Amino acid sequence: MSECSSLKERFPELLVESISGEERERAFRHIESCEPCTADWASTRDTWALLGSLPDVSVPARVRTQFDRALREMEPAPQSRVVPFRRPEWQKWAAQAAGVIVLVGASYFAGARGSQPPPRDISEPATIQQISPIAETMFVPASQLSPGIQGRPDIRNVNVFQDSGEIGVTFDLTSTMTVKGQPGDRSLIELISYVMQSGEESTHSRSEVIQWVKDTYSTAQADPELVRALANVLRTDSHEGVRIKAADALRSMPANSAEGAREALIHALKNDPNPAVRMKAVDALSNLVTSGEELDTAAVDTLREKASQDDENLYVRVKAAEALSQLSL
Amino acid sequence: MRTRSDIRLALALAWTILSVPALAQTPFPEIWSAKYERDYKMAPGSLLVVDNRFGNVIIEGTGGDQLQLRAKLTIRGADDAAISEARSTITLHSNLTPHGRIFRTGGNEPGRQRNWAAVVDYYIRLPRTCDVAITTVSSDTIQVSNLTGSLQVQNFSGQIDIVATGAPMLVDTTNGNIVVRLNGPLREDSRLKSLNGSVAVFARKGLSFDWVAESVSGRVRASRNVTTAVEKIADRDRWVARINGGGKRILATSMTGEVLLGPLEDAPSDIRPEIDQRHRSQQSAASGARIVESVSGLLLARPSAKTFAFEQLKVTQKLNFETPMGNFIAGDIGEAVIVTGAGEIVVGRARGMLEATSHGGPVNVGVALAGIDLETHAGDIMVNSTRTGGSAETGGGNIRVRQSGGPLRLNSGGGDITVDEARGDVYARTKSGDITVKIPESVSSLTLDLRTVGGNIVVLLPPSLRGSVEATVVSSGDQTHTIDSTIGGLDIVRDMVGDRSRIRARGALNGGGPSLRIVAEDGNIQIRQTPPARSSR
Repeated sequence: MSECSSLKERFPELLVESISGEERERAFRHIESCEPCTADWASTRDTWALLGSLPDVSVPARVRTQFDRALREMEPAPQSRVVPFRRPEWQKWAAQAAGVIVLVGASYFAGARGSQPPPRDISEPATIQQISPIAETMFVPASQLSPGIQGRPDIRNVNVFQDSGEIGVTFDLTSTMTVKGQPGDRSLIELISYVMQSGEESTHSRSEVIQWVKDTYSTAQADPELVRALANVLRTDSHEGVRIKAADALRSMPANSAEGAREALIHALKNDPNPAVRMKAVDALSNLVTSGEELDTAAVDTLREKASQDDENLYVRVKAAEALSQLSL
Repeated sequence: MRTRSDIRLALALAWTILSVPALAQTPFPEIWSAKYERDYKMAPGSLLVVDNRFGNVIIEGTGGDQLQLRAKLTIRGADDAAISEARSTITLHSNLTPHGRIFRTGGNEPGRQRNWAAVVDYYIRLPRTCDVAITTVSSDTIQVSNLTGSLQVQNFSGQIDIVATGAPMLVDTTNGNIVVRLNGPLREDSRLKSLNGSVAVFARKGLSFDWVAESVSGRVRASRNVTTAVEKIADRDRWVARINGGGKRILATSMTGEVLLGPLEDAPSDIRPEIDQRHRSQQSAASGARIVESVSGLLLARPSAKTFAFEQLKVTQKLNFETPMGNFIAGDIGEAVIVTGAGEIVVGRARGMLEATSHGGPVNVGVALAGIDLETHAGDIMVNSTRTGGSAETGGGNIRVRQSGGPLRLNSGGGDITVDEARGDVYARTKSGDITVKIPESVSSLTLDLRTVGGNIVVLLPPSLRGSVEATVVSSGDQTHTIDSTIGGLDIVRDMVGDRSRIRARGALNGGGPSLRIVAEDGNIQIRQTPPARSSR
C-alpha cells in the first residue's frame, strides 16, 4: 500500500516524463499490476489531457500581484544566505520622494478641505486628456500626469521601485469618477454591464443599476451587451433580490433586443429556487411570445413542463400555459 | 365492406376539407401537391406510430390484416424555387419495426422555412386491434375511430376527435381540444389532458366509469342528463363522479379550458369552447385597461395583468372576493378581503382595512388609508402609501413600501425590502435580500428590528432620532463584512461565535431610546444620516 501512495506522489513526474527510464518502467509495471493504481493513473492522465485542452486564460494583474505577494510571504528565507538588510540608496531616495509627494498632496488636501471647490463641470476633463480605458491596472508615464492633485483621492498600498534608471510608484487609487454620455455610448454600456455583473459591487449598487437600466432602456432598443449582462446576472448572481431585479428588467426589455435573454429566462424558469424569479421569467417569456418572438423546442418544452408541474406555483403554471396559447408553431 | 373506390372518395373529401385550411394562413401563392398510396401487411395487435409535424392524421380501425396508407403532401411556396427546395427537403418515411410500422415525415421541422410551408395529411385504415401512437405539432384535426387497441396522441395544436370503443387512451395536447365519443365500456384507465384547450367526453347511455375532471381556470361541468349521477365531492375545480356505479377511470384535465361530460346524443359535430373564452377575455381586457389607466398614477408600478376576474372602478360596500384563479383590480374600495388562488391583485385606493392574499402573483396597492394585511406566496408586494402601516409577506419577491405612517411588519422569503419613508416602527425579515429603511427628519423615535441573511442593510437615520443602536454583522468562512457608520459614538466589538466572526456596534443616539436592532448575516450594514429635506423655495 505504501508503494501505491509513494507512486501516486510521482504521477506528475510520470506525466511529464521527468523520471529515469528504469524508475518509469518500474512504476508502470506496478500500475499494470495494481487495480486501484491503474484507475488512479487513468484518471490523472485524463485530467491532465483535459487541462491541456483548456484555453489559456490571462490572469488579472491584481490577482497575480496578490499571488506573488502571498508567495513571497510564504517562502522562507534561505538560511544559508541570510545577510543583514541594507536599504539600497535608490530605495531610500525613492521612499523620500514618495513621502514628499504624499506630504505635499496631504497638505494640499488639508488646505483644500476648508474651502471645497464647487463640483467641476464634467465637460472639463481633469487630467486624463486622451481616451483612457477603465482598467484594473493602469500605467501612466509621469510626463502625462498633471502635477496637481484634485479632490481627496484615497491612495493605499504604495510601493516604490526602480526600473532601468526610472522610478515607479505603484498604488491603489480610490477616486470618484463620473462618465457622462448618451445611452448608446459604448463606453457607458460596457461600464454599466460590468457593474451589473460585478459580484464585488454591493448588491444595492447592482440593484440600483439594474433598475436604472430597466427604466432607461425599456422604451427603446436596449443594447445586446446590456441584455447579455442582465441574462448573466439572472443566471449566476447568488443574491435573490438582484436576480429578481434582473428578471424584471429583462421582462421590460423590448422584444427585438431579447437575443441572448431567452436562454437565461428559460434557465431561470426551470431552475431558480425563488418563485418570484420564476414568475418574472415566465412573464418575460410570455411577453416575448406575445410580441411574435419564436421559441425553440427546448423553451416550448420547458413551458409545457412548467404548466403541467403540479407542485409549481399556480401563477407560474397559468402564465406558462398562457404563453403556450400564444404560440403558433 | 368498403371498396377501394370508397376509400379514394373519402380521401378526396378529406383532402379537400382539411388540406386547404391547413395552409390557408400561409402567405405563399404557389401550391404544389403529390399523393402517395401504399398498402402493407399489418398484423393485428401490432403498433403503428405516426410522426407527422404538420398536417392531419385520420385513422380508422377495420377488420383484416391490411394497412392502407393514403397521404398527400401539399407545399405552398413563394415561387417555383421555394417549391423545389421544399420538395427536396420533405421526405416521407415508412419503416418496419419489430413491433409494427412507423410513418414519419422528415425535413419539416418546427420554425418553418422562410419561403415555403408544407403539410402532410395521412389517412390510414388498419386492423382495429392495433395500438396506435400519433405525434404531431400542428394540424387541423386528428381523428381516430373504431380502434380497440390502445391509443396515444400528442400534439401542440389542433383538435383531437376520438370515437372510442373502450380502448385505453392517453391524449396530451397543448392548445388543442379533445373530443371523445365513448361508445363502449372502458377496458383500462384513460387520461385526457389539454393545457389551453377544452376536454369533452360524450358517453353512451349506461356505460360505467369513474370520472375525474379538473380545470384550473376554466369550468368543469356536466350536462343535465348525467348530472344526476355526478357528485361534486371536491373543491370547485375538481370533480369526481362515479357514473353508473363506476369502473375504469377517465382523468380529464385542462389548465385554462373547460372540462365537460355529457351524453353521446349531445355530442356536437364540432366544439370549440375556447373561442368563447377568448372572446370573454378580450372584453375583459378592454374594461380592465380602463381601470389600469385610472389607477396607474397611484401605484408604484404599472400592473402586468391584462385581463381580470374582478374589475371595478369603485366598490362602496364591504367586499369579500375569492377566486381560485384570476387577477383582481379595483380603483377605489372600502373594507375588503380579497383572495386569489393565482393572480395579480391591484388596488388603487383602499379606504378600509385591506386584506389581500394571492397564492401566487404580485400585490400592488396605491394608497391604503386604514391598514393593510397583504400576502402572496410568490411575487412582489408594492405599496405606495399606507397611512397606518400594516403587514406584508411574500414567499419570494421584493417588498417596497414607499411611505408608511404606522408600524410595518414585512417578511420576504427571498428578495429585497425597501421602505422609503418610515414614520412608524419597522420589523423586516428577508432571506437573501437587502433591506433599506429611510427615516425622515421629522421622526424623533421609533423601533427598528431588521434582519437579513445573505444581504446588506442600509439605514438612514435622522440626526434628532433617539434610540439605542445594536447593529450586528455575522460572517461565515473567509468572508469579511463590515458595519459602516457615519454616525459616531458607536462602540465596536469583534468576537467569534463558533467559526463565524461577529462585529457588533452599540451606542445611544441622542441619549438613547427605543431599540434600533439591525442584523445582517453574511452581509454589510451601512448606517447613514438622513440627508436634509430639500427646501421648497
